[in-house]
Amino acid sequence: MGMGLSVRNIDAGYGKLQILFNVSFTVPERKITVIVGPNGSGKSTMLKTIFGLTTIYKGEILFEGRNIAGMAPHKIAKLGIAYVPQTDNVFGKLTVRENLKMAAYGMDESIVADRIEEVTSMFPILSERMKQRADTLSGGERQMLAIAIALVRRPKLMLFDEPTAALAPKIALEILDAIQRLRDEHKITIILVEQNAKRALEIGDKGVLLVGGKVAFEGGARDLLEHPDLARMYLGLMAGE
Amino acid sequence: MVSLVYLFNSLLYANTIVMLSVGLTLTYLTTRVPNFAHGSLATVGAYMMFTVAAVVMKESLVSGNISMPLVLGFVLAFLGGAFAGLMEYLIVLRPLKRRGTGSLGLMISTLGVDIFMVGLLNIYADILRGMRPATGVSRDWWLRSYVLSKVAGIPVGVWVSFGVMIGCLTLLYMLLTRTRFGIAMRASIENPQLAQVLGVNVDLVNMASWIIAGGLAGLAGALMAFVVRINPVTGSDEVVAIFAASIVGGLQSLLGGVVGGYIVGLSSTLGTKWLGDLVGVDLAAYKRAVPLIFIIIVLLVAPQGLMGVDWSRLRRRIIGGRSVREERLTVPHAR
Repeated sequence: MGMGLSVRNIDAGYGKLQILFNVSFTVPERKITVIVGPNGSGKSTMLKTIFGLTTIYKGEILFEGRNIAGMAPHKIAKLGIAYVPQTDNVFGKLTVRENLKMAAYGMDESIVADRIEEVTSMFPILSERMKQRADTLSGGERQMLAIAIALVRRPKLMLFDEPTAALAPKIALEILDAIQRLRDEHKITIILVEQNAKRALEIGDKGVLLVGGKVAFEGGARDLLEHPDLARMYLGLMAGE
Repeated sequence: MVSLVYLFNSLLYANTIVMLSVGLTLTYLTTRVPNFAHGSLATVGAYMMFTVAAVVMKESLVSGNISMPLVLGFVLAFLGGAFAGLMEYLIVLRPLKRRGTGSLGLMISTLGVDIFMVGLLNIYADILRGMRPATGVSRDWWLRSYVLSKVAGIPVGVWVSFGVMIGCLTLLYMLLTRTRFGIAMRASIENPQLAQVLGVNVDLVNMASWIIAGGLAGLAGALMAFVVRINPVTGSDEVVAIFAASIVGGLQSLLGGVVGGYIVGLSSTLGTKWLGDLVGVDLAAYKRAVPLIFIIIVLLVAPQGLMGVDWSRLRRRIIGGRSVREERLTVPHAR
């Protein structure tokens, strides 16, 4: 299984409110695994659970053969997992540079400048905005900064929570394109939660369908996209569309 | 006309309120708890100073007026306040927060901490009195000789208090803007979850904020001993003034704490004195009401505090033109 991730029999939620029920699936390395499902099916909760931001009642989450279930988020961050939340994913009151420095928190000072250079070369618009406060950026720029922040540590696994929500279609495509490049050029394993199931499954390798906090399907992204019943029932897609 | 002595005392008092208000705002920003025990953290600082006087100095504490090695006193005052603040967070607030206690419950718990600390300080004051051979009845001490002796026409205490206050706030500003830990602190204040996701140990940041706030309070308490006789409830009595200062500043920025501290600190001393001279001396008895009046006015007129007011918009309303904030909202983002 190598660098992939494996979720095993996870029960999790917030305090006493259980959201996920006996969830198991595997995430192959250097591939994009797309988690889809109707509203409130626990997609975002699944990402937060991997990152230690929920209460886990039962089960294991194995990353590089090590159980990370129940670890503190700041420790998980140092293992090479990065999480890009859907909203509030940049520090609005800090400048773009301060945001990027923040992302390098705890890293050796000597390599921080290089890493910031590296991620801004991927999103050149950010280097023009270095001294601006992040809350002055446009929606697309902000999302790029959020991804850049996550990339500073050169993560092996990245979790994206609806990265294209509330973006104009053209910019949404740019972001999904960037995510594909992360897989192809940077060899990063990706878990992507998306509202727009069709668009996401088209760039994905693997699909996981969550319904009511349970896994309803696990398999190839294309298989899910073309599934005669599931695609229509849960994703609002006509089979073979 | 307000006398020079009164002016100096007012400045000394305002400086302590500034330091206390900045600390209160800091812990409020990181932990989201309005700390009603913040005044008692200052009392801890003052008594640490008296400890130095009692242990190091040979003179008795009978007269109430003591002189002592200030630097050592300040160091201990900082450490004492910082320790007390850290303990308040570690023993009371953190466990309660982890159990999901709401902000109301946490706030009440700080009242409990305050009562507890005043009790401990009473016991400690007795011990301190017992340590001197020729003990008087008094357990209230101060450092008045530093206000009586002057350098360049200004009391030593005023020099010292401005030095300590400006030094501390400069260091705090440098910490928050120039160091990685400081940037992490600001980030954690704005969005603790994202900071955590990026590898910041937010709990460590919270602990640091209580150490800093407690230390600043300890120093403020030591400075307060220049102007008033300190007894075990002195700090606790100042809680209303500290909250007023922070609320006037908006509880959202440390700069607000500084501005609010001076407004409340100076007006409750100089303001009542000036009004008293106009109306009658009896007015001085209402000094304690001034901070409360500030709280009421600010909450009614500008609930976000002075720092939350869009000043340029206010200016435009009066003299015309457009506000910076509105410009920011209406200018389309260049892509």
